Amino acid sequence: METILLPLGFYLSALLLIRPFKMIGLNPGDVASIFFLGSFFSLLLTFLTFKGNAMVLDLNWFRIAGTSINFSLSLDHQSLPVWLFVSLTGLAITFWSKYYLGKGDHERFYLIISLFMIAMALLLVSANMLLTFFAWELVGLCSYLLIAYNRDDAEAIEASRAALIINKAGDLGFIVALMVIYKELGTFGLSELQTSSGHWSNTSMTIAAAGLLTAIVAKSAQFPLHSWLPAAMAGPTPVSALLHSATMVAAGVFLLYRFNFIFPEDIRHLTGIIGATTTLLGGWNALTQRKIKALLAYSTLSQLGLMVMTAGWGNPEASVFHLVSHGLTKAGLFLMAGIWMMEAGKSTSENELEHLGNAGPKAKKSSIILLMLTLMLTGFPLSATFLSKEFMLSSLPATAPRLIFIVSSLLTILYTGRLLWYLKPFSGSQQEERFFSVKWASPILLTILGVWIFWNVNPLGSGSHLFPSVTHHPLSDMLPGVGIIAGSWFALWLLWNTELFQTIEKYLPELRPERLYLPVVMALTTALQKITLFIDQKILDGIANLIGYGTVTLAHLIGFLDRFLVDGFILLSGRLTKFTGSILRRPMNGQIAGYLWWTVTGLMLLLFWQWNP
Amino acid sequence: MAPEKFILTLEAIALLAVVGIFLAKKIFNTALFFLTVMLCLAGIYGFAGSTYLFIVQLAVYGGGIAVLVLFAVMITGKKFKTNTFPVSIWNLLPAVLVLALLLANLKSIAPSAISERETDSVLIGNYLSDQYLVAFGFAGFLLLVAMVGAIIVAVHKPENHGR
Amino acid sequence: MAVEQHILIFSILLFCAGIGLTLLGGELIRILIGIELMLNSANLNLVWFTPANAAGEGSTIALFILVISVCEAAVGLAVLLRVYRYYRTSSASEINQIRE
Repeated sequence: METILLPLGFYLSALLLIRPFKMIGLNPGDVASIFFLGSFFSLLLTFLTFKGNAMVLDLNWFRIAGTSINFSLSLDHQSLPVWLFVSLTGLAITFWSKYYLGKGDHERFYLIISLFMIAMALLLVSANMLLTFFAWELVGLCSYLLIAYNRDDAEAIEASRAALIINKAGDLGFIVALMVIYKELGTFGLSELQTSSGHWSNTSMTIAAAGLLTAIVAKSAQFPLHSWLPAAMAGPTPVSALLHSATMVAAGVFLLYRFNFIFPEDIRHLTGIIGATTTLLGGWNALTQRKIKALLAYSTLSQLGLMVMTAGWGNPEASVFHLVSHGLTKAGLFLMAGIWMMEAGKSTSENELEHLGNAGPKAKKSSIILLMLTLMLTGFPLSATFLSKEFMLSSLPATAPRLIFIVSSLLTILYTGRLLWYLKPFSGSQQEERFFSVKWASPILLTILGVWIFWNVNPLGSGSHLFPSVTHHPLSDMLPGVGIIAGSWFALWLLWNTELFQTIEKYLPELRPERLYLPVVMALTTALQKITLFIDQKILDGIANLIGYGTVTLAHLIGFLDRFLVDGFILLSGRLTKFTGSILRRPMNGQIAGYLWWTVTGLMLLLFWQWNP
Repeated sequence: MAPEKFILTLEAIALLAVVGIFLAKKIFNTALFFLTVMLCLAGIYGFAGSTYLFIVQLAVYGGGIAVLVLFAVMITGKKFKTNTFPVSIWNLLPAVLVLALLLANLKSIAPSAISERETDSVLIGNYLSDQYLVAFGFAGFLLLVAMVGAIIVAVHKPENHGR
Repeated sequence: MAVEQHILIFSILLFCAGIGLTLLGGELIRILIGIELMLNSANLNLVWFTPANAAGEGSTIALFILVISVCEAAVGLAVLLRVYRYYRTSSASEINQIRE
């Protein structure tokens, strides 16, 4: 019990004690880092002595009308490695934030980060779906607060609002899942759900899984609801590193893993399709971005798509391993992007790739670390991502998903190559710095942990002993992967200084996906509008007039209604004729009501389709 | 039975008022219709045997919130401007879908066991001082926080942001 | 028709009217009223349909919902006043237009 509560207690004390310690003159960043360090070490101790038995904490949370809901936490083989990863990444990035944020009062930042760590930990160890939902909401709230950390930046505030609203729209799906599960089983407990998952009806299961998937799609920025993640890069870089690349956006993947047993076959297919779309779209978009943080955001999107795809079609455990290995690497890359921007003297909003390569002196260390991290992102042999990618690839059953996986991996190599090409490591005047400084500790730590040896003794293996369902593959299975990755990097290196690169680079931003699909969408919309206008004029006008006149007559006949009621009816029936154009523009206009409209309509149609209680 | 007819009447008035909220041209009338709905609800609570909630609903919604809404209307709508902005009727589709879904499943969600209709002030008191004591304390704290927050938000003068 | 049945229908209608008002996106006050209507329809169900083994508990929870909706209304109206002062209008759609 105390093994679960101790790390949580450290986060809680950080949240409560930052203010008092600040009053006696301590830096909030230092206080938060020390508490996070304590939490990490207590968790590491648990991890090293972990024998495979789940540590469970079961308290009576509340009782309503005879039904009691438990506050249950479970530290088991699923949650422990991921929590350890979250704890470590949180520690590294919080430590680094002190360098990035610089002088000034940043107490609020560390307070929200502490709250986020509590929420994220609860989300991971919760063994009760209702508690999971609370943690899920809390994590979303922290994301909203942190994106808008800089209150003077209108763009950031806009982005934070978009993130909050899209996530809320997705969370409606979570609520539907909770309702269906409670109606079917009368409990939210994870273990009860697991034991009784075979007994409940197929349709309820489909609805619960589809609702849960909606929430996951929103939180993990999957295809139809992905637009908030690139916008969220307007927040401070440590936030992008911690929440929007490593931990929070990956929470959806963890949920897919933890509640894997409620996902029936058809919803798993849907998950796979959504993931595949996202990974290709994200990779393509990353290839055409002009800003470093946008490029990294789309690359995160692409990798998340890979994880979700594998969770749908293959082994969710493999996705969780990739979550961990990719999270470490991508957090490191974001920190490097931050360092690069600081060294070039650019602020968060002006991070164009073109300006970052030539400006300012570079430390040799930053070039080395950047090169290592980019290689790791592509799954270069000898790195942890290689192990996880091989694990994912080998768990995919059919040819088509494997092909998508390989295409996406090649896109990864292309856009990371592009990143390196712009940033020009090892060029320009070199600058020497002390080896140990706040700035370097975290990126170096994250880079070192991305090496294979911490995960699997065999550098060309697949998977890791942390995730026991790993199957052992002969070396010959791994060789194509090694060949493809090494070969692509070699090809890139050959083309490095040729004219070809510059020519491609000139045209790439023109090839953004929107450029290609927006004309098609526009043409379709216009055609639909013409058709509806035709129907409108020929048929609906007549009906609308009838309703209008009927109402007026009726109103006069009854004669008790006020003037405004009658007017209202006429207005209402008049509006009936105008609706057709507006429905088509509805999803594009970014209104709160628009997102809610689509989710509620979609969920209701789903319930109509499947539910017969 | 007499109470049943009363309840039906209250429901009918409330539904008419809801229609009024939708169609009223003056926003001031919207607030009045809202007040009507809340008063009807209070009556229904009374017939349900929950006298305590009847009084609270009267005091809080009838007295507090409705007046607050009226204040807001008076402050914001000096010209009592009508809502002429074109609003698509398609916005109502989700509501219609929810309505259809709930009505279609009405039989299956009809309750089986219903408690005796008796005055429950004592019961509420017992719950509040026993099982929900902590929640009760937090609710009071929440009200305080909301009050302070509302005052700060409404009164605080922005530094020259106006257009 | 039994009282329970039409109470249920009434609360469904109230709830859907709330959703409709909220999504219609006209005046902000209407949106707030829509939210209040939804909360009140939930309250009505809680008060009326408490199972026999937990008499009074529904009303107690309804009381808590009431407290929360009061907080929401107070803060919401305060925000509305602030929005009005800034944009000189309190219509959600118009505010959206001004922004873009």
